[in-house]
Amino acid sequence: MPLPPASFEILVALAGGERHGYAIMQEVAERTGGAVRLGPGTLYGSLKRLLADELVVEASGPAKADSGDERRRYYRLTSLGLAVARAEARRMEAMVRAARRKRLLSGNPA
Amino acid sequence: MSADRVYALLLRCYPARFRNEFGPEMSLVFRDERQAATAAGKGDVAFWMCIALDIIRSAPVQHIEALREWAGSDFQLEGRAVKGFAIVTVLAGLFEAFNASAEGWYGGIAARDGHSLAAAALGAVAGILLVVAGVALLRGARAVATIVQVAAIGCLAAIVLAAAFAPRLSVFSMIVGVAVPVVLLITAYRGRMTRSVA
Repeated sequence: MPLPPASFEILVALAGGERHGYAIMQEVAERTGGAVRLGPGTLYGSLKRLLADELVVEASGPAKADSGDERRRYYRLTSLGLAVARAEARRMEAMVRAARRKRLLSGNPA
Repeated sequence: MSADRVYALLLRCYPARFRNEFGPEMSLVFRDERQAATAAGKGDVAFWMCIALDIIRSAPVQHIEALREWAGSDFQLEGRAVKGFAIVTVLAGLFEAFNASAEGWYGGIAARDGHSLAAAALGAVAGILLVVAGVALLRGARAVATIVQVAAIGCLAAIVLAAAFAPRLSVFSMIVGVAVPVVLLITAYRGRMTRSVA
């Protein structure tokens, strides 16, 4: 911690359930309104680290793959990955509260 | 050439291990992105710029991580890597020996300067030792790691002595004479050069 931004985005995307690479990219782009777009190199570079750190594992995927392409691999969070994502989210929440106290952000201070 | 084929070629910017593990998925994602971009009316230039930026940002990171993994592990050099490295070592040795001979002629024999002559002789010895190390790697000699270690240490010692005799030894010659043996020593001590060149 802190996690690289791309890694955190991937963990948040997988918090909603297992997904394959392109679905992760789409989810991140839609959630951020296009502000964050992960390219294939960035996505799989981050996935490689997350797999090595055991925050993410390869999942079996749906019974019938939607693309019919066996090269598509699915990923899901591990319990450690979920814990790390929650801890990172709490850390960011604390930073936002501090920013609000300093009136850097609008909204009522906590 | 199709866009998919171009991207398959661009994937060669990544280390082989990374490419082998994630390349097929990356190709799939690229294809999906390309279809989405076409459907959204995104221009080719903008699309390919995004792809190029992604590769420029991510490929060096993967190479650095691959280098860290290699340096931190008891890693056997693969056949093609050994061959490439051996060829570089031989060429560096030939350059060193030729350069030292040229410097010896002009600075030593022609000017009748004993110090320069001695430095040139030591430079030539350093070059020959590099060639020996490179040939040992190429031929997959027995006890190749020992030969490489002895040759590299000898080369370093010769270059240091040469610099002591002739402080004006060319900088490039010094860099080659120091950098290549250091890399050879790191490789010989951290990895095992037991495989012959494929």
